[in-house]
Amino acid sequence: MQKSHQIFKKLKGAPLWGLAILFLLIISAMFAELIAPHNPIDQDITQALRPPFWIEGGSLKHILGTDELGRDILSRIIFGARISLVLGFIAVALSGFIGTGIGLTSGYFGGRVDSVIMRVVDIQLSMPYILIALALIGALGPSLRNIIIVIGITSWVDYGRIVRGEVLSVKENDFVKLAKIAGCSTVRILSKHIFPNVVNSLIVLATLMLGRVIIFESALSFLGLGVQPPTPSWGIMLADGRQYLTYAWWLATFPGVAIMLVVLGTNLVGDWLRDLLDPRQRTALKGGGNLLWKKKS
Amino acid sequence: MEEKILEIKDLKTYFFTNAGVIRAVDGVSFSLHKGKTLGIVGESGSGKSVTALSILGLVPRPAGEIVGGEIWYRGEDLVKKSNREMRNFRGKKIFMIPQDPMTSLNPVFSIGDQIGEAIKQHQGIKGDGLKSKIIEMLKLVRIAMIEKRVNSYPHQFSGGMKQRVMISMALSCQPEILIADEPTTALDVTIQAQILKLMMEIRQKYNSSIIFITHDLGIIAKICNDVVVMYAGRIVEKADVVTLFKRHRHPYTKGLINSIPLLSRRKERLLTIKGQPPNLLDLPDGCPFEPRCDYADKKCADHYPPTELVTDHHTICCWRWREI
Amino acid sequence: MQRYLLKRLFHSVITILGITLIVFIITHLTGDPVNLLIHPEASQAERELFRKELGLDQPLYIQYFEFLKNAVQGDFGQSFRHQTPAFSLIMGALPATLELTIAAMLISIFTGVPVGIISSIKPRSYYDRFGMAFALLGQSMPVFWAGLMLILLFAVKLGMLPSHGRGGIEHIILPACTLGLFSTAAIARFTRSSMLDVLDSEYIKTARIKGLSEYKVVLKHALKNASIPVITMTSLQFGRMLSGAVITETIFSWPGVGRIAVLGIYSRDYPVVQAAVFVASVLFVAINLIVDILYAYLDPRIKYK
Repeated sequence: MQKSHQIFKKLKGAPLWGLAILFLLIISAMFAELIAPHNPIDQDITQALRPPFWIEGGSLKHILGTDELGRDILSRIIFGARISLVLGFIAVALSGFIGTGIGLTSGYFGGRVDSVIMRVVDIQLSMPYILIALALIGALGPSLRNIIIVIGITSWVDYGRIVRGEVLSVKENDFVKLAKIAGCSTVRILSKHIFPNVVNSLIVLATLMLGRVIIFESALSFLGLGVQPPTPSWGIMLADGRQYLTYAWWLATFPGVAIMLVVLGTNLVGDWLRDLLDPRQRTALKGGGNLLWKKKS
Repeated sequence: MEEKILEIKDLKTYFFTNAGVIRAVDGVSFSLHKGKTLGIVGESGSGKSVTALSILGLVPRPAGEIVGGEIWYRGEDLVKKSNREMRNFRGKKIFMIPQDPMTSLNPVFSIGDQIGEAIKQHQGIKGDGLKSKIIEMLKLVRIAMIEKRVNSYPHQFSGGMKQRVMISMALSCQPEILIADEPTTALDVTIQAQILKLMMEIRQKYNSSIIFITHDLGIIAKICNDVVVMYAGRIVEKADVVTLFKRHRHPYTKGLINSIPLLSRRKERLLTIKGQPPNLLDLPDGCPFEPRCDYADKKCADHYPPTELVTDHHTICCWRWREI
Repeated sequence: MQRYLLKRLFHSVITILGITLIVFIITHLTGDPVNLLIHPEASQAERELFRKELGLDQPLYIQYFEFLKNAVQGDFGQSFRHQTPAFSLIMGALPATLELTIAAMLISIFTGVPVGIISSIKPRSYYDRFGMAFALLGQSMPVFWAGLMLILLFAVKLGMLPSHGRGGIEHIILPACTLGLFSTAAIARFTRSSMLDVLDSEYIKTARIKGLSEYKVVLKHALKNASIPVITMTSLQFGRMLSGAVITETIFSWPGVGRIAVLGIYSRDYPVVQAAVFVASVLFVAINLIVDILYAYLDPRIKYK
């Protein structure tokens, strides 16, 4: 483990923009009613397709413009944050739960169980996840509950693999072997010894997955098989906006910017967490040439 | 008269890290004479390897940097050379056999390819003649059944054989100066002896000048003409090999020599040098060996000793060498 | 090496079997697959007949064997909308998808790898920072949004490129760039980190000691080693791309498998969906196998095991 002052130094390198974005996301989701200038489902045909305020025809009443039914884009985006965040969290939790459980089992027990599970992982990875998701939703019907289940089922694999990898390396440590000799029950070993060592990677992965899940959900909504109108999801806004791309570009642009910013945020924070919690892992953003001198002769 | 082929003056190589500045090589001066073998001995962290890397201009950047000193080779100061200019010296004039044979060869090219590359680069042979030259160079290091194995890959060879391949690569470059960085440390004792024997044969055959880095005084005694003892990035004693073993003056040298287990000392306890190697991030103002020295006094702790001459060819860096 | 390849082949076959199982399960999830597989306006009597025909009154495992047998022969039933066998519909659309995916893959490799290499040579330089910033952005953008923005810029505002349909080169540029965006970013980042790892190795130091030019050190010694994990990653990207193709084809009205599958889902044309999932998955497995073969040729440690 690192000394506390080293951790402190690393905290200084925190990605401020990333954290700010995520903070904004959470605030929007929690306090949407207070922040949003309008009700997201209020229709006003007289105000339909108004451009953002900096373009002629726009006004400060609707800062980012309105859609084809006169609904305020900014408000819909703010409320959309709630959908994305809630969906995201639950889906991440669900897939994380499944993935961790399976990963722990597979990694710890090894042998046949492991081979079989890995085979299943391979099979699932071979199938384009969107098609599976679409097929499942097609079969089950689009509803909030179903989307979460579908996303959860298709995303657990990432957790499973990483957790399994961690378990495999932790398993070999002496303190685990000692616990086994001391007669600790399997559950106890897993929860007290193995899991705490796995938690770090899980946190990093969960953060990164949040972004991916939000994109996944918007993709499904974009194709009409996700959240159903009039619920303001960013994906639906993009789908609507597509028809008006030629003369009302703002309908499609801003929700997409929102998605991109959120995912950017999760990526930045996730990468930083990875550096912070597990310096053994190299990230793609780390510089080359070890800054800590390798002690050779 | 012995010709000086390499002269290092007050070399300083530092590493700039988040935790501080590491003065890996801090004012090192020595010379290498043509046809002779110079040994550099010291513990891990004493700066031996970094000195070698500095000569070749391969100090890992951006953390590491030569911050001072001169390295004179054939009338040119290597410290001032750019990376591109150094390429003219590497391989052809100066070659280094690195420490760990297991990782020193590229795993995706056959050893024939890798030797052939060196031959092409430095002996200018191409085409058909190349294949036979490769085999010839590999035969020099006596790897068994080499014709069949020329197209094999590094992972199919043992550590000792890989080291022979590295030596063959050195020969293929035909360098004037060969630096060997602990070439036998990673190998079994029996293989060690074979590799050393090979190197000595080569030295004789090609009259090469060698810098031999090691922490093993036994090897130094066997093959070196002159010796440099390093500690915490500086030279604490420098002499020819006989003088070093028989008339050494520095307490560290004394500790090193005394710690060699000899059969004649079987009844005595194994002697070690007490204490820990120094923390290079936090070097004291005085002599870095002071905490572990049996002869240290207050002056040793406060001031770094100057380098003085015992005789023309024997220098020492210690306050109290006259009294020891 | 033979053993390695046979093992991989065996795994591939098992994987395909698993895929058929999953497709089968999905279809039967709702409890009564008849509703999915028959024309939505069929009468009750027709459904009963269909049920008998499909053997849906048989125990599940027999149904699965029937399904498997049919799948292997390429029989997934008739598409309701088009009155043609679902399988031939999908196969007809396959070349379009392949064209798009390969184009996108080429763009990602030929853009991503050089960016990654150059970034790794001078880490933390401005070039590196910009490159990685763009890569990060590229991985954060949703595919469909990127596509729409590209259409907005090049088709609507600039009028330079068409926004839908398949035809000449100008038709494929936007969709391929859209589809390849994420991969380009991922490959750039990964190449960079793989190269950085390799450039730190001892054997690179040896290459430099030999006096080789930096050009040779990087492009010959380092790259060959670094490319091994990059190739694995690229094949994974290809799989992701097949998913991304679904959305890209929808946006650009590109007549590929993805688009047909989505339309199939909208119109509850389930045989088509089944066939699409199956074909796409088998394709992915085949690509993986090819990549494994390539891998074995590149990495002698596997070749000579």
